[in-house]
Amino acid sequence: MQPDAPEQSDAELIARVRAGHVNDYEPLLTRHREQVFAIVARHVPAAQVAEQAHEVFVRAFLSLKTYRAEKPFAHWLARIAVRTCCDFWRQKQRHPETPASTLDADHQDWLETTAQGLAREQFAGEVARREAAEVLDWALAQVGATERMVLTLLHRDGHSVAEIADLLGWTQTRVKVTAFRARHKLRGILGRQLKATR
Amino acid sequence: MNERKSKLDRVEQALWQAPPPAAPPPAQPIEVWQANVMRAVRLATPEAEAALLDLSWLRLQRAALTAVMVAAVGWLVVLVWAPLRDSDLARAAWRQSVAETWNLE
Repeated sequence: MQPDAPEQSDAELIARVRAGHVNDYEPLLTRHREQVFAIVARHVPAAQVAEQAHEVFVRAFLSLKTYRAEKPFAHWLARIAVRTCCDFWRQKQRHPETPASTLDADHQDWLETTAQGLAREQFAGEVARREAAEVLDWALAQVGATERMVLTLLHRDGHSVAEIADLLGWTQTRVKVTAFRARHKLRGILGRQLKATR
Repeated sequence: MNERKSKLDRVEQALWQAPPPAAPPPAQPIEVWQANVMRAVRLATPEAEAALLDLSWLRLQRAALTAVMVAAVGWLVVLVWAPLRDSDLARAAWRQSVAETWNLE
């Protein structure tokens, strides 16, 4: 692209890619890669982010003919990114490479002190935050792939039920039921662990 | 029961307050990553797939041609060798009959 050429809109670039100008996919990729990396990084392990972001863009390219310009391209891409992350966890649960991690003494301490309501001020600390993230990761590894996605989208990313339904292509009822079951399961896991630490 | 519930509430609340992981620094430069994506995308175009299909068809044709050539060469070898073998046998039989007739051995 020439430096003084006016920047083409997503819709124009998509139309050109659909017409067979594959190289016009690159400006789209450059424009939206940060957004995709940000979504993927919130849902898959750090070591897998680049690979899954790659997968998102290849899937988006292959599905480009199904894109309707009713919603912005960024939104459509976000849906593909979330579903790719969901597929990643499904695949991982189907073929686990490593056994599920266990909680060490520090994590159990964190659980116990948090349960007692003693750790609020400690949350400013980097270590405590990391421990919380690791405990959450450990607990989420024990729920299903879709349950994991719904919980993180709802409680960590702060999406509404309607937004999650749109991202996953589900009905709102299904999101609510899945979220309820997943939360119940997560609380069961944490409760058992708390009982075991005593 | 209530105590257990409030404990779980506290833990759950604290877990979701933990900040989500930030995007890690890429293991490879972003340009390399982008070039890899574009390479995969170009390979996924219908033209590239058709070219791959053509290539596999060409490979199939070449393999078939090789097989025909090998069979033809083998057949030629058999064709040439069989009369030679037959003539050797005939020559040996003639020598034997001559030897027997004239009682040369």
